[in-house]
Amino acid sequence: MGDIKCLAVWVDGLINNRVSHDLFRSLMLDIPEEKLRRVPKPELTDYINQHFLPFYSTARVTDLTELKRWILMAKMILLVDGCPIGLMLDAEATPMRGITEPVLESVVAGPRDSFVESLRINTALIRSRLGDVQLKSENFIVGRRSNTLVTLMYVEDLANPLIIEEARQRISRVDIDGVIDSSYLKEYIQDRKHTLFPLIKASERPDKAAADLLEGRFVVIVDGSPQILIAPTLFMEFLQSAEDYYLNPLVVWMIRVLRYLALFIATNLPGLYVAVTTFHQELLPIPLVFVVAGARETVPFPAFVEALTILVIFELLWEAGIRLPQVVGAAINIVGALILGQAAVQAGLVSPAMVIVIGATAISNFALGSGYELASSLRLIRVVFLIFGAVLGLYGIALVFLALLVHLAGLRSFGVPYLAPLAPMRPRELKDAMFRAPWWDLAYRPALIAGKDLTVSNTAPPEPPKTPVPRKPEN
Amino acid sequence: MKKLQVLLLIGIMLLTGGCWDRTEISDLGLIVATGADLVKEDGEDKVWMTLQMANPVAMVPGGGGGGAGAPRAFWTVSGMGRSVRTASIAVAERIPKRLFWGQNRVFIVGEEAARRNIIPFLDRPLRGHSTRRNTYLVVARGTAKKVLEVEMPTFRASGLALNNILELEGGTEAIMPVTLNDFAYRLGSKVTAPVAPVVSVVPQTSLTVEDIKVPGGPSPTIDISGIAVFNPEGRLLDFLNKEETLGLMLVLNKSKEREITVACPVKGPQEPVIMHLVRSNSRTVVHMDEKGIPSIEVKIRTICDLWEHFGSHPGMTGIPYVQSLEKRVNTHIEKEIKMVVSRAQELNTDIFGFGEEVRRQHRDEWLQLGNHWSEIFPGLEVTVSAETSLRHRGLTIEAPGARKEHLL
Repeated sequence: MGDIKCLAVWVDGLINNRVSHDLFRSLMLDIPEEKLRRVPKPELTDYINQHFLPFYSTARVTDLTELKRWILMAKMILLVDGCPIGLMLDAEATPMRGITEPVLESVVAGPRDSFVESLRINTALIRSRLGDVQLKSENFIVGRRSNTLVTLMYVEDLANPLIIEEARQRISRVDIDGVIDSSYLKEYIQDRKHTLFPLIKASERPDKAAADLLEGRFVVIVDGSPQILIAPTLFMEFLQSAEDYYLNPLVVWMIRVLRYLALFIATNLPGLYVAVTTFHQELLPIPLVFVVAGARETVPFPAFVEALTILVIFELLWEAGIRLPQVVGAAINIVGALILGQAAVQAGLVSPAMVIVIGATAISNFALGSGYELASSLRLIRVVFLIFGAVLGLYGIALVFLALLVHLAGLRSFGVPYLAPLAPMRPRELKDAMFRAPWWDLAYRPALIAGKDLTVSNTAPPEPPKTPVPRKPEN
Repeated sequence: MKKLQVLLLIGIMLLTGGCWDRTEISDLGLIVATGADLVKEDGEDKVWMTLQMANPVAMVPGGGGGGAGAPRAFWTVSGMGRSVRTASIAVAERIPKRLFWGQNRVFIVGEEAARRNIIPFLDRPLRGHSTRRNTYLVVARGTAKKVLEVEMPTFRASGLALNNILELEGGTEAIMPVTLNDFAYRLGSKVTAPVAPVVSVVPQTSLTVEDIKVPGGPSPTIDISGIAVFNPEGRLLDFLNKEETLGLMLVLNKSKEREITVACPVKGPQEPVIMHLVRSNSRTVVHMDEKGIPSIEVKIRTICDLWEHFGSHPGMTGIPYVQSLEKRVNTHIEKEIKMVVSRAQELNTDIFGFGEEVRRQHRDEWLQLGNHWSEIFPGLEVTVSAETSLRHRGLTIEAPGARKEHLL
């Protein structure tokens, strides 16, 4: 621009080329030099910004450290000679993949988009579902070296302000080198140091995030992570799926009951089987005793060792199945199902009943609704049940169950009891617990979570017209 | 510190239960039925225990079942000893597995043992914590051993067959299941006499041609009918036949389903009408006269369906016939009960629990009567009032073809 020198700084690859071209064109071609000369030098940057730059998002930066950080956070900086102000221009174009279908929380009915690694896209996915002026977002920068942008989103007049304040404080308290994924943050801001259970829900579904925001929860989005965090979370939610809200409520009731059954099987069945067959043989009906005893006749190991071995093999298969490239996946299936299952039974190393027990456990483990997180926690709990069942029989199972219940009842997610609405019992909120009431009946938000405005809808249930609809007169 | 406490707690918890009680299910000698007999050896009474054991390997597919020389699914072992326990130990010594009583479903007492006194034989099963209280108690005609050695073509184990008969068909016809618990409960009463069903070994009746060709005659099978009557002290007195058992079951409210054959109101006994009892409800009422002598009224209400009319004559549709049939059923029931009552009075054993009813309904008088019940019972006046209603007559109401003459 004539004799005024300018400097544009950016990290190559993080900036949209088209936008940078626009910048240079307006700087080089559009600005009439005589107008610039009339502006005093210190105000030059502001003048250029106000009159000539075709950018929708700009900001003034005066601090040098902040300026450096913006550069590293994929912003473009314009400096004008003789002017003490830097201009931050948003021309971000970080490399990213497209919006795909959710991987962990796939559904049959309902929306099929999922979050991606870009925070801006993720907020857009939520905003596009929730056109509420009260939907607020607050930005934090977490990570001393990664400088990761973290956004806290909530609906201001629904969320409990105390919970939001707590979340704000917990996030700003985090001081680490880098936040690579939202799970880093999760472990810092959850209510307890050690627990097997997920106290904050991670989700890749924008529809889930939007629905949870409407229930008064908040959402934490971490740049670079396709999993957003939702809290406060209840234990029950891990046994629910996004699809529950899209299907017929009666069907959902059945499915949810099935999931509770699956939870029971996934945690208890191996332990229960070992306990009953080694301590309480009189509990089984006569024909079952014969079958179980007959099948075990050739097995060289005690039932406990047998169960533990197959469980370990199952865990190995699971782990291998995840890590292996998809091409090799089929091989794992064959080895797992045929060689280990079939051959072990035929060789008499393992009893068929045990294979069925572990098989049912494995299936149940993945039939928990949206609970991949829960499913991975249950792996350990199952082994605890197995050990206690093998040592103490049903007494041991009962002990572990009680201990687990005590632990669960003591957990809180951002102050909200984890077992709500069962403990503490809140009858009104049970409408969306074991079963889901139809939408017209789900009139209230969970009061432990939402702060204000608990009424969701005042719509009367659907009703046929009292008088018959007049038919068109024939001719 | 807290962590240490928790660890200590878990350690104590694991130690208090203890995995040394653990037994693999395949190490158990599964007993499905037990028989106890009294035998004399060297002039001394000995208990002869027969255990029917399951061999589960033979029962799973691929476990060696089927074919000649294959392991048998059930076998029996016996042992002798001074008591039930010592005799069982004698058995256990010869079995490579640990005897497991938790699945024992039937306890058979031989006739000889029952006649002497059944109480010593019941002590061990009732005392042990591993035996089921709901084990069925059965008295064998002859020895229990013989009953358990019968090989049934269907279940291959007579003990399991007995269990199935008592469980599935209990309450129908003359099959009255009695568990150890029921028996002990009645023994505990001062005057009520315990009863138990009777099992006997009989030759198979439905024979195929192949069965007849078998050398040694038709294979034996088991048959449950009748009731063994004990006195309150636990000694077997006599057996009731089928009709008497049916009467007893009606009074004790144990009849769930049975047939009652009455004569046709028109043609008489040559055309029997089979009534099917679907529900019966009995109540024992005690009346006291001025002199303080009790009399018993057994009130029975039943509901019957007409299941078969083995005849051909028409005109059985009217209400008078229905009423007449109901009346015949009433008479039949009354007769049946009177018969068993007089039989029990002959034996002087209160199997109906009439004494117990007197105690409940007239407690003050019972204080005097109770000590003399064995003198009162044989002369006790028992009246029966039966009230039957015929509910359904089936789909056809009349025998096929019966109405033809009306059509002409």
